Amino acid sequence: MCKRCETKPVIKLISGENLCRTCFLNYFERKVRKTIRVNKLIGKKENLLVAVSGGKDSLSVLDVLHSIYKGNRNVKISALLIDEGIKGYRENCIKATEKYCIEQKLLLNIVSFKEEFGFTLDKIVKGKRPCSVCGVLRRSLLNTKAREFDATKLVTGHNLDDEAQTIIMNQFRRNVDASSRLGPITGNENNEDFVRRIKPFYFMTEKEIMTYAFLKGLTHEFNECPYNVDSYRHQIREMLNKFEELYPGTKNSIVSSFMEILPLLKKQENKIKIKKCKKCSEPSSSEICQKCKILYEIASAKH
Amino acid sequence: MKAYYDRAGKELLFKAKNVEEMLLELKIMKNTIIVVVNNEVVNENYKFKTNDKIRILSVVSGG
Repeated sequence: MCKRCETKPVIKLISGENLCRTCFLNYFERKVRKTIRVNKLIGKKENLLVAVSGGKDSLSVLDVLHSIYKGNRNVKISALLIDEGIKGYRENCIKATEKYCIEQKLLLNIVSFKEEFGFTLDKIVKGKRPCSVCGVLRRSLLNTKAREFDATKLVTGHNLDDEAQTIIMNQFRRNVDASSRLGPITGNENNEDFVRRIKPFYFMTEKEIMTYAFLKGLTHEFNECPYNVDSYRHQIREMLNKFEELYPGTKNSIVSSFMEILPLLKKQENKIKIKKCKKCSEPSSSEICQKCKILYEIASAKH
Repeated sequence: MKAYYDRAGKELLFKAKNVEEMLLELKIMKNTIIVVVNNEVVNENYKFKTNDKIRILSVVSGG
């Protein structure tokens, strides 16, 4: 039975606590509010742009923020969806997002790789690392569009599982610089070329988010990107899931211990000089940004 | 009894009497799924009843 109200439980938390539908939804929203408050993710006046894909994480983060800030005139919320062009996967996600935004009267902007770069991900994926290519192009496009839309913060649905995976991936690859750019709020507040990113689901597990999405009826189809199975991240994810099963709380421990050393890593991040890419003038740590390097590779492969 | 497992794309047969035992029997990790019975989410303690319609939904990454 639910520990708080003695009704039928829907989930057993890592702590061992059983919660019913109502108590779980309250717990979920309260935990997100705490993450926002403790990490100072959202100020009194904001224009939030939520990066949505139509999957469980992004629709849930949009739903929770909409629920928290509905009626607050100083915090505006709109959504941005990037269509990478993944046939058989992205179409359903777009439909789910459009349906949600129409019902909730939220502004939805849709941009595509095809319109912005001249190709779909499906077209250029042969012989490439799809997740790396897609990740770089998406991040670049999110930042550019967030600036275009005058967003004060870009919201993503990154969760505890994502973050635990990234922390371990960076450790395995000895990439301290990349780790220094992690955390519930990222981006340089002194550089106006970057729109700061916030992750209200930083301490929520994927299972909690999926339960929330199901209970709120946000999406009925939980599809996975078909390219995901080939990725390095996928292997790390499988490994961490096995550890979590044997030692519950492992992912939480990885992220919580990382949070303790993050202030030290941030000092390292501040030493990295941000330049402007010589080709596109977007912020970059090198002369030519990753996006332009990838676009050059793709253009060269065509000829 | 039987449960539809979306990752396998088919129904799986099992003898277990509750969700926790079913997941052990089918060798499915509980942190990677949610279990839906008669269209309602249930936790590991749920005891199955005759004619329950059971679905095991994978916690997909991304999105």
